[in-house]
Amino acid sequence: MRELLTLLGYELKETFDSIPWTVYFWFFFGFQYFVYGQLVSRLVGSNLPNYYVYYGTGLLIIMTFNVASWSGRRFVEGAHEGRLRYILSLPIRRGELFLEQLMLGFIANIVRIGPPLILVLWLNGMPPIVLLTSLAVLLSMSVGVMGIMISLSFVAFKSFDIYSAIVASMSAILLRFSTILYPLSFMPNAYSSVARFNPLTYGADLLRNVMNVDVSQLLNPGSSAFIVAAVGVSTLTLGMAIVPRTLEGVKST
Amino acid sequence: MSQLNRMLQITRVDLSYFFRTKWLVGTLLGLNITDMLVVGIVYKGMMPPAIEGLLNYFQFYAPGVIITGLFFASFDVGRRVHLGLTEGVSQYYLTLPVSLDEVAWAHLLSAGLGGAIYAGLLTMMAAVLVPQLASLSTLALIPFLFVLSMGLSGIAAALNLFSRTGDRYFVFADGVQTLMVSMSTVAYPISVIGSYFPSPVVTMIQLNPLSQGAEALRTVINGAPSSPVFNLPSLVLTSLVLLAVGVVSYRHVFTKLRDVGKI
Repeated sequence: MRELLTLLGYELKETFDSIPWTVYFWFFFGFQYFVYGQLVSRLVGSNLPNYYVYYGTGLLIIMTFNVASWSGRRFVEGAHEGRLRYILSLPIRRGELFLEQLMLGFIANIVRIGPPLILVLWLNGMPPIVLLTSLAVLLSMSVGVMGIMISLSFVAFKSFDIYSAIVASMSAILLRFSTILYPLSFMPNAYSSVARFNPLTYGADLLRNVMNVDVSQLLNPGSSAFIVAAVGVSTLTLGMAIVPRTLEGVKST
Repeated sequence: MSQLNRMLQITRVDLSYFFRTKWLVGTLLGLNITDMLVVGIVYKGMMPPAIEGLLNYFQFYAPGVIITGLFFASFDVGRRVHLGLTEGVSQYYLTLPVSLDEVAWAHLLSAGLGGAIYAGLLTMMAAVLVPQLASLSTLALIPFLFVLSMGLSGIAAALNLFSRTGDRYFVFADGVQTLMVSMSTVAYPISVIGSYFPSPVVTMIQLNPLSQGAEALRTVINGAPSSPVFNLPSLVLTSLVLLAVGVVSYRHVFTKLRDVGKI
């Protein structure tokens, strides 16, 4: 356990050495929420009366996705560039290493998403208890996203460039074909059918459920919670199965 | 080989590096195509039926996506120069028999071409759903888009001047991109912007080259200027001012690199 905490402390220091990125995440949120969100919700108008709140919650999901995919990519990048080989040579069990990476991702997510989440809750007059439930949903989602990014690591060891291209294209598709920015009822049938297979759709609707955003267009919270948890567990399991096989003996750039 | 030829060789290498960077092209295409074909189409059903004389929100938004693509593609020159400075490619260019001005112009030219070519590809895709874009007016607009693209790269050059090492360039670049796209008429009409921001901010948004470019393409779709923002001379003037900033910035960067060995 001591080794895990030592490594975690070292990696946290390295992560937050890059303060401008954390500030950028908040800057991005501020502009998207107070400029883009305000103006687009004025355009939407009465077609979806509380679209601004709907958009704000969607933006939190986008932030979670971005931060989690950043954490997942950082892990893969570290492996590709040889940093992980050094860490693997340390006297730490693989299970502990995986747990340490997960904790690192959690902490990075909380620091970057926490302030925007508190702001949204405060501006919309939501009770403090919602902070805990919302955070639980966002962190569960971030586990799933990190798991997806790490599971794709086998591509990165063939070509990091192709890995990045796949992740970037997949991210754009996952974010757009979901209920992050618009409810299912406004999507053409072809799009809504795809969105129903997207775990982000369930994560976004679950977050709106726990925040009690009344848009009467949300998916069942029970099935949403089940899917978010299932994606998190399955991608983590997949990651745990794939990563040890691909990491050992991986070539550096 | 003449100096001009050598400058064009650098331009060609820089431009081909942009199109060969798979993750970048993947990111840009993924972002722009899904923005246009998914966000644009879904928002069309959520927005009012007519915006600034255009039939629907998709017709309004598609030009915005094209200009955003042009911006991101031309802005990538800053990333290439940043990597060139840290990996020694720029130092190599300075050993070639070309002047500092030519190295600076080569990068700005490749940025202009990259943005214009990428915007051309997006326009062809958009023309499938917005047939008005497949017109002579669009062709006539290409030189202006090229100038706009070169001008926008001037902002990236200025960032190269201020962000010397590490991740700082990428943070600044993402910040500027977020700021410029949000504070433009790419995604929302000026009438809505006017109802939210005070008039000095609205004026700045009107002068934003992204607003100017998007409105120029919307004018092509509409057949006539549909918004007070459209102003071709202003587009050219703003772009030339930014281009001058780019030339001065890159001249300074490469002069310092030559004299001191680093920036």
